[in-house]
Amino acid sequence: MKELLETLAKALVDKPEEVNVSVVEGDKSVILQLHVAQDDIGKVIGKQGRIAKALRVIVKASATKSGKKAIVEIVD
Amino acid sequence: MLDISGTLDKIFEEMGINAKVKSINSVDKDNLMFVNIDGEDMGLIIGNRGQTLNALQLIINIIFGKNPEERKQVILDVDEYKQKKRQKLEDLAEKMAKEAVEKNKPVVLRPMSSFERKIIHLTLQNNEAVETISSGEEPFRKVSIIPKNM
Repeated sequence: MKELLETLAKALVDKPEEVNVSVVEGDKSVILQLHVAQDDIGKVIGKQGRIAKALRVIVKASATKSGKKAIVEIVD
Repeated sequence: MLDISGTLDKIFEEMGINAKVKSINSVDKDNLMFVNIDGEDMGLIIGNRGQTLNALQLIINIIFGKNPEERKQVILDVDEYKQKKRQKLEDLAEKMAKEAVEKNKPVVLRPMSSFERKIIHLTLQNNEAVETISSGEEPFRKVSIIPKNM
């Protein structure tokens, strides 16, 4: 799931080298914290959060298979 | 040519989902590109009310929309569902345009998604006899087909 979010974020931003995902693992859920360059935050959020919402949906679908709940946080 | 199928296959693999790009069909006159996906996990790829497929489609269009030269709208499709739907909508548009001209009054279609409305507009954009207008608010926006010489 970490790799997935990294791949998606790197493809969206202008500075892929500054994309970093840290993982906080719980019993039933995983929190994925997405860090991107300051100028790229808009690229992973989008108008009215469209992109952020899409990222969450995709990560969630992937988490369904592993049986855990995934939470995506965009950190600035 | 950008590698859409390579990118999508990589995403599916990292999602841990059994799915692959089977074929890509371009409809050049509408600037659309239908990417047909196949595999065991189609339910997961489509998601509740198509939300996962739509999310993937949005991301792919943003990634590949970056260089404007060969910009096409990518439509992610399963079992050629949307491609068949496109054909049906094209037929519907032609039929309703004919009806509008014969009766000499506007024909209002059922509420449609933006993709569906786009197909109607594109089909009739070069039709001399009618014009098309969308009205109403999402998710109830409808296309009206209006005879030009009314």
